[in-house]
Amino acid sequence: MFNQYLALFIFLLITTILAWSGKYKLSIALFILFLIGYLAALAPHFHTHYGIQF
Amino acid sequence: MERSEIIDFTRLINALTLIGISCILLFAFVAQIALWELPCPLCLLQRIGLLAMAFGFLLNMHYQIRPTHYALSILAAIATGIAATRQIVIGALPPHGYGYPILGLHLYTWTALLCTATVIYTCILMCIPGQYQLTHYDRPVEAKSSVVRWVCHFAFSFLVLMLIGNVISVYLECGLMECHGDFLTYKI
Repeated sequence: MFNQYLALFIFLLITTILAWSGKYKLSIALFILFLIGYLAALAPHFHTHYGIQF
Repeated sequence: MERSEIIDFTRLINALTLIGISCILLFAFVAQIALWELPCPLCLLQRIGLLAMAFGFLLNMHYQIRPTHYALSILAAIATGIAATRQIVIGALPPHGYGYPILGLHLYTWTALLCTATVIYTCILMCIPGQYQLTHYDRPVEAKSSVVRWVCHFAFSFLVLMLIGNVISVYLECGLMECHGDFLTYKI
């Protein structure tokens, strides 16, 4: 498995630079993809801890 | 107040919010270096989320101000709040907490409070009348005032600097493979 946190940081960096360079619609589309990726990276943290299930 | 002044004023508030978010990230960096407090995976997610919250404000700074941009920041704040709340729940059970508390609260608790505050703050900011321009919204627009322009450029540079800093930090901590280990030393 790759480092998903590094991937998310780089993805956000690219999206930010694209937004600043005038690629408006592309940057918003990438940001929505980023949010989906963020939730995908967050999901595994909701596993059982100390007998508590979420 | 003329319409262009209201827009410049709102743009300035957005830029200052962006600088504020970058300052919080800078503070986390200082804590990481000074207290040798390496971020755990959930902490990294919160850092990413904080930077994502800045994206909507960045769009308002560089393009026409739109409710959609505020909505993107609110969405990011909610996602970050979920990550922070999850860590609060984990930290509430033994062994208590992760890292050193600052002003009596752990950093992730501060993050949860900040996310809640950001949602409220953004909703209030959305209510400023006369700021929205719903035509030609996909073309970059510079502020009329040179001071606001300068602040906007500084805010963008600061944000990019924080993003690059975090990319380097995560790479040093975990390398290219999945984050494992005790988070006490850098892997690279």
